[in-house]
Amino acid sequence: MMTDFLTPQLPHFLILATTLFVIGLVGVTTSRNVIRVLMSLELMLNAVNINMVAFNNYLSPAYGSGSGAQFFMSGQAFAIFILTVSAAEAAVGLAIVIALYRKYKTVDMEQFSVLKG
Amino acid sequence: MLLETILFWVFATAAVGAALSVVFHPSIIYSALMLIVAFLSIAGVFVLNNADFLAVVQTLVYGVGLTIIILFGIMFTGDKLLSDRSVTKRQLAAYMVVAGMAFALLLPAALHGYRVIPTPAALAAIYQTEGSTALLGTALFNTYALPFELASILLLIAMVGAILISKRSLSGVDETSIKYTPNQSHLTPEAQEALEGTTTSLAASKANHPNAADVEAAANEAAVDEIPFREPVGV
Repeated sequence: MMTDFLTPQLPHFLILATTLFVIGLVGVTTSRNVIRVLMSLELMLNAVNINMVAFNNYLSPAYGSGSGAQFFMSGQAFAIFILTVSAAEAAVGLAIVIALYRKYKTVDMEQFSVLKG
Repeated sequence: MLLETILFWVFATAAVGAALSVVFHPSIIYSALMLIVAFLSIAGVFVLNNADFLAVVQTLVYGVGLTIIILFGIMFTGDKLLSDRSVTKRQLAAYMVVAGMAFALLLPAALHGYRVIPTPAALAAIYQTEGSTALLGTALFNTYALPFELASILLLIAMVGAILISKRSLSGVDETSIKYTPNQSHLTPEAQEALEGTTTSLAASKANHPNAADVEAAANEAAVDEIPFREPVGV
């Protein structure tokens, strides 16, 4: 039935995450503006988070049974860590962009081709 | 179930459309604003997966905080790049082919027949009444207590690092304004007096040169040769 195909299941979320990840990948590789590269990077990290949360929802293990059952939220916990790391990455990345802009007066990726300061 | 289906397709379409315009919109300001739409749609996807705490954190950290600092970065650097694409249309087509291959590579993993564990009735009851926040907190402070503390150290390091990198100079003094003065304290006062005025600037020595005009012309010629020539780039 058509509605069965439309009802969101685990593959739906995984395909959505894959699509967002590949769009972010294209942005990272083809953009010239450093800030757009950072934005695309955040998109990729978010796509991974969708994967984590979907797997946690559909494959969550339970230990024990009845009233003493323990439920694990590993996927969501890892999503929190990814979020923390990407926030730190964005802050340091923006700081580097600002330092580069002070030195070169541009945000063009092609101008940042030297390792020497 | 029907509501869930409709919400999923609305959020998925909005997320993919916003992501495409983040990458392809010519104006980077619109890209940053579409990034907010993408983040909020992804927060909606989190809600559909019973991750309500994460959805709120996503809205606050990404939807508000991160986009604010990205907008600050855009405003600080200025929107000077008119054609943002560093590649020609032909190269862009090649990148699209590579991206399609990456998508085709990842798709089997997404379509792999995972044996879905049905949500236990007790867990479904918890989702219905109080949500997953308490469970997530228990996991963070028991199983993942050490990574949790390490994450806080990472945030501290990132904060200090961001301040240090973006600061003009460590001492608060503009380093380009510091003038070099050789230490002459080991010389006798007579010698210091004799040295006084012997160090002249480059401009002054050029001007004092007997063939000042020739030197100037030669210097200009040399400078012209050294200007790096860049091929014009862009679509």
